Amino acid sequence: MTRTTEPILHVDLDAFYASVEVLKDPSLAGRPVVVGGAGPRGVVMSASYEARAYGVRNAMPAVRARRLCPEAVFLPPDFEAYRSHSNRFREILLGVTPLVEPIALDEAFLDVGGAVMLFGPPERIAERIRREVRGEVGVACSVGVGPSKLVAKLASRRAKPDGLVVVRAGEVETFLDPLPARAIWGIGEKTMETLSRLGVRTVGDLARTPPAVLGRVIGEQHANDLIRLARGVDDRPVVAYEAPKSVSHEETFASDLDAEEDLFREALALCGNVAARLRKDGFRARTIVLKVRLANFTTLTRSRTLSAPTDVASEIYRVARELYRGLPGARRRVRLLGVQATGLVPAGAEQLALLRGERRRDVEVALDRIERRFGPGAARPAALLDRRGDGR
Amino acid sequence: MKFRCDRDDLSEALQTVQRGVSSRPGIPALTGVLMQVAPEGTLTLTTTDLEVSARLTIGVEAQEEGVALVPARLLGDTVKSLSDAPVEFEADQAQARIRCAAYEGALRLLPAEDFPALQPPSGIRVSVEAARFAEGVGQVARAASRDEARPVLTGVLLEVSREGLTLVSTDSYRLAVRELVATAGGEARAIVPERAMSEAGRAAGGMDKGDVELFVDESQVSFEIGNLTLTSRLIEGEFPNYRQLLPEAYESRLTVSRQQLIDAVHRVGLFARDTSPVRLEFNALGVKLSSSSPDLGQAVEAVEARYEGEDLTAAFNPTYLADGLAAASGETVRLEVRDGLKPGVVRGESDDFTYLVMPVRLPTPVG
Repeated sequence: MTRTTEPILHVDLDAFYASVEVLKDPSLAGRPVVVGGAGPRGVVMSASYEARAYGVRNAMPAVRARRLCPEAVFLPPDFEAYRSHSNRFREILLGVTPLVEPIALDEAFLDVGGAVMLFGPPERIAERIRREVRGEVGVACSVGVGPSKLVAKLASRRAKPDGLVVVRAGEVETFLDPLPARAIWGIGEKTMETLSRLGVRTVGDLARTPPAVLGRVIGEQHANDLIRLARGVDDRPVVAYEAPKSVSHEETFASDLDAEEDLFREALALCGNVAARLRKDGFRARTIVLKVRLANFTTLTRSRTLSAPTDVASEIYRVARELYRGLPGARRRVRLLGVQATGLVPAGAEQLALLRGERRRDVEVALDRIERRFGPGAARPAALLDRRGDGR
Repeated sequence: MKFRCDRDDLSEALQTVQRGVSSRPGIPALTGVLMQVAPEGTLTLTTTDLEVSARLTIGVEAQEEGVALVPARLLGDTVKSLSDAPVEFEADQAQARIRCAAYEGALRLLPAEDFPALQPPSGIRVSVEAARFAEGVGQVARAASRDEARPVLTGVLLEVSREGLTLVSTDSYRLAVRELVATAGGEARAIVPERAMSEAGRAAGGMDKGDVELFVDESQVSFEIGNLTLTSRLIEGEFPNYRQLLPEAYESRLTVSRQQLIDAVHRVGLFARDTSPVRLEFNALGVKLSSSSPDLGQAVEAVEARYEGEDLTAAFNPTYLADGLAAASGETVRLEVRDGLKPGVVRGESDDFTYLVMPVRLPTPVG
């Protein structure tokens, strides 16, 4: 069996937003392009390599970037386009291995420990990814290969732009030692200041610092973590992201409910939670499932598929209520109620509606915003105001 | 009963009465076509699914009057496949015999007494030119909703006034309004299932000239179109107040070749999926359409046109937009826009048709 000691890849698209803008408008090719927020407080989100030559960097105030490079083309971000290119990027990675951990639209870790049996050694996989990304996404990317996430990430930085750097397990020390200590994750300006006072400048310096000495200044735990990383010890696994298949909320009642209005009120709350979750994660559901467990533990489930996927609570609630009314029997005592949304599709861009009834979503989005600001339950449907268990 | 007739006449008539009516009504008697021969030489065919019913009278050589309920599908298929020769039809209590050239068939009948009695046309009478009516139905029908969850929107609103007849439909994402010149005996509002409306429009489109007569009462509408009468139950409920949705004139207006824009929307729209729209960038040169999809690719097309207004961008579902452009009449079409969040308005060369289409919200730029 083929084994590799350098199974981790870090793939990073080069100047991603700016590169996509060039794809959208090829006349920008070869010119300094800066993507960022407009206005006096806007910052640079992405700069083409031509702009970087003038000293323009990410996160720099746009005003400053303009001063450094007045001839640059400044553009507002077009996340729709970035997302769609990013999706293709992700598909290419998933064509190599399911073990893909996306970090951002333009960046991901891969664990190719198993994929090497199919596609050959990691460096060959890296070349294949670089080729496909260039061919199909139209953007250059840099890949770092190493035994750990830390090393792979630092290697891809070294590889930029448009390159590949492989750091073998036996070379980790030589690779890391000369790097500035700041290269290690978790070392910000503050920690760096402290380290400088101890005479620690490079990763190598850090690796050789006795933990006890560093622990006294920045705390034992933090010190141990940093020193381990500086020695190239990083065993965090690549965690594959899986799109959720469904979103559900259910509640077992303290005492069984039998009045329809009480049940519907609970259902309304559950639907609100499900819809808020869908909106937060950027999905819409095609199918709504209602689960009802009776006092005698019989569990009934009913589902309905909608004509158009939704992330609106009032819509989910309407379906849940109809499903409930369609259950056999008249009076029932309910122990548990559950609402599940499945058949999830990415929400994508939002089709606006003419009719007020359809604008229910706007109301719910406004509620999301209120809750984010003032905490859960800060605003909710009037029907839920005197809900039991609120400790009113 | 017994009659003789031309194969084509009978075949066409059977197809007409079967079209508007559900083919799976669930009640055996409703799978039949009721055939009535009158001594003066007419054959009347009636079908119904209780929602919509169709009644058509043609001239035949009547030999014996009477009534028979014949399985509609089998009869229709049979007559359609007969050779081009006179058809002889004869029915007793149990079966119907069909003879044509060397062919002879016997169809089991359904009990005619099970066929429901239908309400004759009644209510306010409206006359409208058939060709205009057919055109109007074609313009609005596409905008009706297919979502049974909101029954009201699955219908076409008929608004009858002394001045004329207005046809309106909306699925809440777009709205189509067509005003027709008509003479009416009063005022009325009725929501007609889109299926019945389209069938009436289609039948009216087949008329060379003349008027369609509508009869609107509380619960049903009838369309008398030549020798065909289509009757439909109405959809109950309140149709949205569409007048308040119609915006006053916009300042930004694109005047463009209708066909050119339709073609461009179609071509560029091939890259748009459920959730990704076609983007329209309006500027002094005209309009630039673009669309992209992560797994398919992207397309851009610029259409030269006259544009009065500030540069702006709006995105639309390509199907909704193309439906509106196709429904408008004339060589050129006007597309009025305000911003990326207000409805776009499509108008043809005449002022009697208005189509509103809501945009797709583009992600808001940060900063």
